[in-house]
Amino acid sequence: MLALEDVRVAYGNVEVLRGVSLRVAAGELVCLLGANGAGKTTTAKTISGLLRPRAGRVTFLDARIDGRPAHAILRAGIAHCPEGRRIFPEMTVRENLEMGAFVRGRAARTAEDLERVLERFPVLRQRANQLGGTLSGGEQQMLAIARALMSGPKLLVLDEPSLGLSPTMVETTFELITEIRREGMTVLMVEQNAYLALRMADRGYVMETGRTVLEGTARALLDNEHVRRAYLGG
Amino acid sequence: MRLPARALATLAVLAVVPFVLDDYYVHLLIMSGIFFLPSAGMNVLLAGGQLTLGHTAFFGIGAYTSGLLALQWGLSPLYGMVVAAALAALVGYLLGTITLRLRGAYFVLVTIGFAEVIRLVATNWIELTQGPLGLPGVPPFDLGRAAFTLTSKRQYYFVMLVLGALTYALCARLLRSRFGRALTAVRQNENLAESVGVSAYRTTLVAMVVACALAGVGGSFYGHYTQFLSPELFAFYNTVTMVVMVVGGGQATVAGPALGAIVFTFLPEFLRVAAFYRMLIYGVILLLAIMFMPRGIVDALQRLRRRVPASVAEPPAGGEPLVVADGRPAGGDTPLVVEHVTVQFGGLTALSDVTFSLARREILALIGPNGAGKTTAFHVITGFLRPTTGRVLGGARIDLTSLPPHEVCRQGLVRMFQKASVFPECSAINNVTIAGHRLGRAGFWALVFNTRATRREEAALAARAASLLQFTGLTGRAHEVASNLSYGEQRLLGLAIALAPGPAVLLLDEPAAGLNPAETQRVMALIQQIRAQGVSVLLVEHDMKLVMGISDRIVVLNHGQKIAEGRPAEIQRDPDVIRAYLGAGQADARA
Repeated sequence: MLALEDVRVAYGNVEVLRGVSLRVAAGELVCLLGANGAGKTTTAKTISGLLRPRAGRVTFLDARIDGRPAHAILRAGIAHCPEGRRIFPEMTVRENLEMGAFVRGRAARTAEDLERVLERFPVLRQRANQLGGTLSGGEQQMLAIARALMSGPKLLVLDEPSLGLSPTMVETTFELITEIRREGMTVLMVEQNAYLALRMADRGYVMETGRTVLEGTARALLDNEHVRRAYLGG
Repeated sequence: MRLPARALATLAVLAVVPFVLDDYYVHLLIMSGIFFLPSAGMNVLLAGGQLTLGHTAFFGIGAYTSGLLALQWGLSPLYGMVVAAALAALVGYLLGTITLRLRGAYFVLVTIGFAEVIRLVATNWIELTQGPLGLPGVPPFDLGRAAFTLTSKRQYYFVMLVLGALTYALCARLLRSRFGRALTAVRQNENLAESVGVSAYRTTLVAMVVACALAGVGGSFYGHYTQFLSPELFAFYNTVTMVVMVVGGGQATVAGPALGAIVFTFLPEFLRVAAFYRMLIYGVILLLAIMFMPRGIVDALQRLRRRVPASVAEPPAGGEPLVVADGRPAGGDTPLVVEHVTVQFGGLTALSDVTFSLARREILALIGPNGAGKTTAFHVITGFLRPTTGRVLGGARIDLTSLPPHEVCRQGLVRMFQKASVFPECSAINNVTIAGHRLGRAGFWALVFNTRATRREEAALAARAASLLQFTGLTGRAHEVASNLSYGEQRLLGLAIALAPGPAVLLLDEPAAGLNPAETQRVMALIQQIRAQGVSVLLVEHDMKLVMGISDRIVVLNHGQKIAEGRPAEIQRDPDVIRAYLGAGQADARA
């Protein structure tokens, strides 16, 4: 479904991605692991078109998407849920969700989807008319994921969904992702909580200093000596 | 005072110019110089994030002050200029004390309004100013005595050159000093600046006084040069000219206003050949300049040259990096007491009668669900929020409840923020140097004259910043702009920033967010080292391995109320805590 081949990205003169290659097949949950500054978030941003690669190819559903603007990539079916719960704090929850469907523009379908999303996130229904900024951290993360789903994506790119969440909220969030995934969504997930991420993923990639250096099934990565030492903490 | 070679070369060229070019160009250079002075001042204030669109008021006040003094009492324009600068500075100070609590657009509007009021006064106070007719016959500039009256353009040029060079040197010293760093801090992240001990209000007020004094000098010289005063001096387009010079040249840079003043004085003159279309072409050039060099000429030139980053100062050799600044983690045995604190926002109770205290060298964790009031507690302790009732006591039971954040920092309590915990446009090393502000002692004039003590202090601050960067493992990223760092690296930089003022009590808001388990273990080790140096730590964190691993005690908040307090083992068994926060799944993460 998604393939990156030797993708290179630079900020100014500094190359931060120096050869990232990965594949995500339809229906898979793939996670991207690595130390801080390894380039995971940069990879996510490159896929969703927020950054342009200086070399390499990104293909999605057999079409090249690198260099296309972010809104076009969203329309093609990739929704990016950025790290740090980026929501519109001064819009209501409902408006936030409607913004998620902005690219689709058809009111009838939007209303239907809104209903479906609110069904899945009962907390958001309770708070539908509250301002996004007044939600707690966990609720904001829910809202960010729900908003991403509102664009009706084929691939969901999640950047650190557990960031800054309490243990119970982390559990809830991961259960939710498993559920979304069970319904057929393809997911690429960047996550620091490597242990939890690998437990729910099918496959994973490990990034080091801007390169993908290791790939394997989640099981294999959990057992990998290097991964254990470097990312699982012992 | 040592002058770098480039400055000497520039001065030498400028000294030769009037012997090469004819009077018309000399005149243009004098006008560039006159406008450089207020622009340079405006730039200092803009470095602190405040835009004044009434700056011409101070230019005009300067012109009228020394002009009227010379006309009515025959005071030498040289002394008149000093009075003009003082009066403009005084008016700026008064306006600043009232308005600098305002930010952004509000401050801009007030300054526009102020300039308009002054213009109306100058137009209508006929007895003093002859209103719109203006005051002709202002005496020419002299150097203190009639015998030294300036008679030629060339003489004016050289006096202007001296004034310009002094202004340039003053602004360079200020912007590159600890004061300049404080301005940058306020501009880029005011809350963080306050939390490391920079008073946003005082810093911008000093900048305002400098800005207005320079405008006064420029205006005074202008009045004696043109020998005519009119309320036109207060016209809005004069301010616009200054803004174009500052922004076009390069705001918050040292050379920006100087380059801008020359370029944007000469450009409209050269366009006179286009006669009728002159202003149209000028407008188009301005538009293109802003589109292609949004950060001004200086920035564009720097992009052309390959920039070699300056080397990072060597961290002091040997031993552990020094976290505690002056070896005196103040605060006695209980450096922090929170007593019956309640915070209400409208109908919502964010904290309800919360009491806890922190012992010296203790690591106390504050945990609870998202929205339980942990960050609110941090706001209250560090002075960003006044509690509805209750109080916060620092070491030696000093009441911190009503102190502003920068004062709380001076009492030794420094926080790390959950979001926006860095100065985004500065390099990592500069982030930490800025945050060492509180440790500097040099006053305004010591910075201007860059005394030996000041230089020694600067070197110490730089070394300390390098050592803290090494401590947090970011030395390799020292010259990276903070906003380019990954989320986790920004958390670590936030930690280095919070350590820079040398806290007795360190408040950490999710230091391990965005770090993987291995990196989290390193942060745990760092926190333990910090404690070992005598610092008390109040910690908010969701990583239970970290919390349970290093905390001496834990306070649990839920819906703004303290629901438990105790040792980690007790907290892990507490049924209320498990229900509200830990969840059943925490059982296997306990190891």
